[in-house]
Amino acid sequence: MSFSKRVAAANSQGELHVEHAGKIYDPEGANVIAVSDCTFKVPAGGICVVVGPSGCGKTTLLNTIAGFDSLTSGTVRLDGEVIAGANSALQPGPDRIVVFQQGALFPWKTVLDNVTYGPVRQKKMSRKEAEARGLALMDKVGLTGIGKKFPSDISSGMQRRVEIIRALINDPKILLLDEPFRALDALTKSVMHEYLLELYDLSHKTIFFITHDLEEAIFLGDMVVVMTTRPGFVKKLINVDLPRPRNYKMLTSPRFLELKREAVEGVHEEALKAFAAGERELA
Amino acid sequence: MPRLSNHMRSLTSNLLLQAASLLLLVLVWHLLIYLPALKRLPGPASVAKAAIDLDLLPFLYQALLSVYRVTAGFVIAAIIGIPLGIIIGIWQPIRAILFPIIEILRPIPPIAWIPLSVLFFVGIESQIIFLTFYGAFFPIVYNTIAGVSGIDIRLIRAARSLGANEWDIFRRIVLPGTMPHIFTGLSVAVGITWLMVVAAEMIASRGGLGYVTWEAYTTQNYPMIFVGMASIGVLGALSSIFLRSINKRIMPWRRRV
Repeated sequence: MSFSKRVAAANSQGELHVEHAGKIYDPEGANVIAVSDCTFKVPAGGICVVVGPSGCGKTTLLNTIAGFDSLTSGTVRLDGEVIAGANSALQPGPDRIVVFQQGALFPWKTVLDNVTYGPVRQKKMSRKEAEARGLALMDKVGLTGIGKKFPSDISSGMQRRVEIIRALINDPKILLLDEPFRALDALTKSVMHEYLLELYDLSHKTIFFITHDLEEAIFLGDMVVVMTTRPGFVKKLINVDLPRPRNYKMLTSPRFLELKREAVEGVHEEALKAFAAGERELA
Repeated sequence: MPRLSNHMRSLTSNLLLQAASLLLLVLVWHLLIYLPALKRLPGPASVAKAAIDLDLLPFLYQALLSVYRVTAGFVIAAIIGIPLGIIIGIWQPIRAILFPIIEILRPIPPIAWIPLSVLFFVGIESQIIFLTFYGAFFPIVYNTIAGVSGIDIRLIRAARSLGANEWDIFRRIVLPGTMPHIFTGLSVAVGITWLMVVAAEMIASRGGLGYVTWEAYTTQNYPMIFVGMASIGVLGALSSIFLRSINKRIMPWRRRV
């Protein structure tokens, strides 16, 4: 399915518009510019992947979208509504759910209680409905029969899938993924990509995905935003025109490699700059 | 099946090793009394005899008296200490007011409070219970504060994104997240309450196992010293085991940790 068709099929919710977003930490003291004049637009139902070296403000950007932090300038809009502006941020809510880097499942709740936490807390579904819906979603990504286990009893690949489902069951407008597969080994990671895309195909939620991994970025994304380091701004926007559904054969296709080269050039320059800046700080 | 039998085998050999280690201790003890310098030390045989000849009911009464003093002090410390620790952990202003006081009082060993507690409290019983309470109080408060402040911010953020309000976050995230630290505090505290009760009873001479042990010394009934000490040890160990079993029951998610 082409991108435009996919978006038309999805409910047209979840258009993300980042305009001149800027964030300065500690404006009186050290004046660290984390994000500077970032502008890009993610269409409803699109997958936007942000790559960049450590400290380029990716996570700051994600936190402002989620409502954990505010900007110092510019705005972030979701479906036209301002969700973060200068020193203001809409409270975090179930329309923008984050899947965290090392995972943030509640250790004291069973897998199923984790999954149903959102809809039950918000009284959107009865516990029974939520459990049925949760089990159905879990079945789709190979998580059958683990509902009664505690998160510490399942593998980290499973934990990550559970966490994505815990977010999706709330029917969010946008799903925010903060390097969710970083700690996984390469094999588990590639399986996770396929599961994520499968879940994506079910709902076509807008996805905002942060990573260090260029291959992951291009494989998953409709667009890749390459960010620079300190100040973090958008260096390059790459439109990924690979067809969907995607599979691992594409990783060696000429178009994939071409896109990867384009991204590598952008990121490598930035990595060198970041490295040099680090050296200077040490010197 | 092979795994199970392996497990059983290692369990039995473990038990055998532990029994052997205890036997070795008794043997060394038995040999030690032949050293001229230790000739007043009662040997395992005379201690065993003292234990068998024990007038059981009066001795049990003394043991229960100690258990009562430990339990009373410990429970009061938990009832005051856990909520206080949570409040200090959550509210920064209260922390700013109370933390310096705690930091000044904490390094004073609880035993140093014995003279003051005699001045403060009228009855001997309340003096002893104050001392066990005081010994248990700081470990409980301190660990509870550490537990609250150590809660992973991502869990709180996740709950907030999923629609939890402040009360939900307190009840479903902060409380269960603090629980393991509270139990660490409680198990440290229970050891200190036994220390305190023995010290207080030795000084107060109003019954209890500490008094029994000290009196055995003053009346030169040396084997009885060992009986008293061993009973204190057994009861201390039992209270730890009791705490641990509660711990497992209310925190099933940590069973495998």
